Amino acid sequence: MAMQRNFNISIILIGLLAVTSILSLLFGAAEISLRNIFDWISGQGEPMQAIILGDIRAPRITLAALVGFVLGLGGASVQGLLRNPLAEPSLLGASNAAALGAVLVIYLGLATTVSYAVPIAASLAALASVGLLALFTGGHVSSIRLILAGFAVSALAGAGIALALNLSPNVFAALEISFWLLGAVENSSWQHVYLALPGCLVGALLMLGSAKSLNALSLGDDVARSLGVGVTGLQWRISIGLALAIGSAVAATGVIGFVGLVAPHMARRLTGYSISRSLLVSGLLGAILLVAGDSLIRSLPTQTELKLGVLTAFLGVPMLLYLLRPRGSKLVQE
Amino acid sequence: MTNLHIEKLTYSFGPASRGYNKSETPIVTDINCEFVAGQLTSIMGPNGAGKTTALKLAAGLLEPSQGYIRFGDPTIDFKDASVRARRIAYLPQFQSVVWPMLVREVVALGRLPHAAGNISGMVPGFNSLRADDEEAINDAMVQANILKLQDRAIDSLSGGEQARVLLARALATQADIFLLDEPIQSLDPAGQLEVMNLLQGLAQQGKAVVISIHDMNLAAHYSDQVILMRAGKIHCFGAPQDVFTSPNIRGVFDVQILSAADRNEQLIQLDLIKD
Repeated sequence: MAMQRNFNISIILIGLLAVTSILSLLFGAAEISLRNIFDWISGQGEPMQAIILGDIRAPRITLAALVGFVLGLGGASVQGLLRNPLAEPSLLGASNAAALGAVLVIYLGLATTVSYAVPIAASLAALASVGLLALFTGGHVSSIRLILAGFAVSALAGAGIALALNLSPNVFAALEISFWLLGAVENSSWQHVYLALPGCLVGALLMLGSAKSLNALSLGDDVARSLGVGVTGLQWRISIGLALAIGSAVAATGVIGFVGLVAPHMARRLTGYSISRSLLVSGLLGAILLVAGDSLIRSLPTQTELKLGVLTAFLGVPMLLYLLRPRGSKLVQE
Repeated sequence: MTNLHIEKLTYSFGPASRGYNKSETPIVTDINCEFVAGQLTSIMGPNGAGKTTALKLAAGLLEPSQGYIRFGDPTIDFKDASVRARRIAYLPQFQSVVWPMLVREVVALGRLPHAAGNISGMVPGFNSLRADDEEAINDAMVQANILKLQDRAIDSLSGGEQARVLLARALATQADIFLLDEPIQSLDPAGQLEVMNLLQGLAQQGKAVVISIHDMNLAAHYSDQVILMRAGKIHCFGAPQDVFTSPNIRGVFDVQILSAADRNEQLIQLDLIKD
C-alpha cells in the first residue's frame, strides 16, 4: 500500500538524517575519526575533542537539521496552501521581515550586548509581517492575492534592510549585516539551538496539524469548504506557523534559500502529490540537505569558510533545473 | 435522510454584514424551494440565471443576504460547517485538481468530513482511513465506474474520466443531499446517460439529488422535479411534464418548441445499450 510505503520512506529518511548527522561530525579543520566520536559518545574522549564535537560541531549540525526541517516543511506547506509549485517559505514575507528585525538589532548595536535580541526581534518582525499580510488582504482571499500581498510585505522588509545598509554608520556594521544575511550555521552554539527551537517546534506543529486540510485544498477553495475545512483559518494557521518557524530559523542562521523550494519537489517524487504525505518527508529532506551542505562546507579547503546560504543557492539552482528538465516528471498538473 | 428547505433566499454581491444593498442587483431573488429526499431535482435556466449561485447558497458556501436555509430535520444545524460537510456533498461546475494526485487519493478526500481530525494526517503512513472509509471509497469508484483507473494520476485521464473521478469524490462523502453543478457537461452521450442513471439510483436510495443541467431531454426523462430559473428568480417548478410547456420554455429560454404535439419524433431519444 502507498500508505505503508510512505511510512517506510519517513523511517528511511530519519535513519539517513541520523547517519548524515553522525558522519557530519567527522568534517572540519580538526581531525576527528569515527573512533573519537564513539569515545566521545561513551564519555571517554579527550577533553579537547569533546569540546570540538560537543560544543562546536554538534550544535551547528543540530541547528542545520532544525532549520533545514522547517524550511522543507514550510516550503511544502506554503506550496500546498497556495497551490503553487513555485512557492517557497519566504514568499509570504516572513523571511525578509525576520531578517529586517535581526538587521535592525545588529544596526543598533544591540546584538553584542543582548544575546537574545536578534532571535526575539526576528521572530517579532516575522509575526508582524503576518499582521501586515492580514492588513493588506483582510480575511479570506484567493491564493493569488495572498501571494501578491506576501510579495508586498517581503519587498517592504527588503527595502528596510537596504535602508539599514545604506545608513549604516560604518563599513564594519554594513559588512556584519551583509555577512549575516548570507545565511550560515558557523559559530553556532547550543544557545542558538535553544533559541530557535520553540518557534520552530510550534510553527512545525501548526503546519503538520493542517496536513489534511491542505489536502482538501487541492480540490479548490469551494470544495475544501464544502468538506468542512475552514479555509480562512487554514490560511492564518499556515501563515503564523511559517512566521514562527521561519522567523526563528532566520534569526539563528540568516536567510538560507532554495532548500524550501527544492525539498518539496524532491519529496513529491517520493510520496506522490498528496500534500499531507509530502509534509514530513519534505522537512526531513530539507534537514538532510542542510546537514550534508554544512558538512561539504567544512570539508572544503577554502580560506574563508563558505556561507551555507551561498552553497544552497549554488546547489539548489541546478537541482531545481534538473527537476524542471523537459523530460522530467511533472511538478504540477499542466 | 433529510430534505433541504430554502426560504425567501436573496443574494447580492458583497459581505453579508453590509446587509442587502438595494443599489446592487441581486443575483438570486426570493427563492423558495425544497429539495426532497428520494427525488432528483433539475435546476434549469439560461446562463446567468443564478443556478450556480443558488447551489452554492444551498451548500452553505455563500452567506445569503436575506432568507435562510434549513434541513428538514430540525435537529440538524445548517449553520454548523462540520455538520453540513457530512450532510451535503457539493460538486462545482468547473473544477481542476491542482496536483496530479492519484484517482484513489482524490476520491479519498471525500471522506475528510468523517475523519477523526487533522492529527492522524500528520504522520505519513499512519492510515487514518477506517474500514468504512475504504468501503465508501471503493463503492464510490464502482458507482462512478472508475475502479480500473484508481492507480492512475488524475491528469492522465480524459476530461470525461476526470469528471467521473470528481463525482466519485462527492459520492464518497455518503451525504444525504447532493448538490451537483452541471455534472454531465463534459461527458459524451454514453457518459451522460451513465451518470444520469447513477444519480437516479442515488435518489432511489433516498438521497436528495439536485443538479443543474442544460439538456431538456435528459432533465425531462430523469427528474422528479424541475425548477426553471430566469434572471435570479424561480420562474416555475414542478414535475417535468407540468414544467416543460411551450409558454414556460419560451419564457425562460427564449426558444420555441417547433411541434410540441409530436416532439418524440423531433427529438433524438437515447438509451444505454444493455448487453
